[in-house]
Amino acid sequence: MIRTFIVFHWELRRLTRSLVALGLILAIPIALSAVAFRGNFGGELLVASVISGWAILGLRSLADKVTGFTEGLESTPAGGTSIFASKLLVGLIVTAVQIGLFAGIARLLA
Amino acid sequence: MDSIVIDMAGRRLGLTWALRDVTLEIARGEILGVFGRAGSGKTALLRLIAGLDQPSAGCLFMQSSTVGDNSWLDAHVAIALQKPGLAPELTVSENLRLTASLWATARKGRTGRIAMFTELMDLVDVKNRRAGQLSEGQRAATEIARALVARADITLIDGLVDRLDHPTRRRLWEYIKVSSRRGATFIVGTSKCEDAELCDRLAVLASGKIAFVGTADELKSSAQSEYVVVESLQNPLLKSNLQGRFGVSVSERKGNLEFATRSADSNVARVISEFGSDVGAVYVRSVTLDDALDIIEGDR
Repeated sequence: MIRTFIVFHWELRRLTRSLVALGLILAIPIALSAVAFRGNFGGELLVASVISGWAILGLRSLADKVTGFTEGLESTPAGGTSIFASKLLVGLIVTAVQIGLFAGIARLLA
Repeated sequence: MDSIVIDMAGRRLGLTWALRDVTLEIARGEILGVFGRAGSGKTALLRLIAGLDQPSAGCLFMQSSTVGDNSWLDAHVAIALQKPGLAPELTVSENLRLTASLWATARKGRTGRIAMFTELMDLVDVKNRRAGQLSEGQRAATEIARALVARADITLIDGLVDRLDHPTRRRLWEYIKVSSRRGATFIVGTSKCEDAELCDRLAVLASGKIAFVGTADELKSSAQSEYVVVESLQNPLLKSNLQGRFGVSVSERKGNLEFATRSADSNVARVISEFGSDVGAVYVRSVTLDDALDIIEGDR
């Protein structure tokens, strides 16, 4: 449990340092709002947030595999469950941020 | 005796065996060099010991005969991966802190331990630099520091030592020697004879199999020969003449011709008497670990 929070803490820190991830988190809601929804938000808001949030996370996980960081974590006592759980928590945070952004944009456009 | 026992272990990657029938016992406090050419199975063996992969055949287990102390059976294994497992967005210090936290290194000693390995691996000047911005040598040094900071009972280093600069490499080996005297076990995967020479014992891998287990000196003497080195300006012609006259396989190394023999002194005399006018110098050199590895691999 403690290890899950340690990995989660550092994952969040990494996320804030990654310009690509931050750019995607900000750009996707803005772009989707402008192109697809034009301010009319409903259930699509939630779906779009979840999809884009997890897509960003998926891309980051893929990048971590390529750089070797995932294996680096797996070589510590963190274990697969802690790593998975921490990524899940990060995914929830990213999704929540995206929902917030979508909602904010919807309010501005309304 | 406390030890790691590897019994007929194999690791299959797809249709091929990266490692096959490996039987080995590694004693607590030993510095074992896993020595072999690229693709010989060093990484596969180290990954099995680290528990990153499971054996496709055979087994590995910890064995303890220390009465009243079973701690070795739960020994912690840390590995410095050949492809460093660093977070590119985090600084060198942060990567070490992350690892130390996960290994539950006591908070009190953690900062000091990180500082110690930062200095040992010559990372002080780059400790606040992101891992993604480091040179290859600095990444290797950080990865080794990441494994050392774990305070594990068994530390594996997979082929990174040769990427270090000379002073850092020397300091690392000093640390390894001192730590092993205190009971820490080190397993170093390497293809460089300079590093292999410094290990207590070597396990030589060739084509995924253990080809030799013993000390560096035993490995060299197993070659049962010396090399006659011939310096000449007419290498191609002299090479074929030597091969024809002596019935040996002559190879070129560092611009000179050389061949293995069990009676070096008499062969030197023969070379001088028969090709004296064609050669600049003739001398005998002893077998190196590289030669022994070549012999095992069948290159000579």
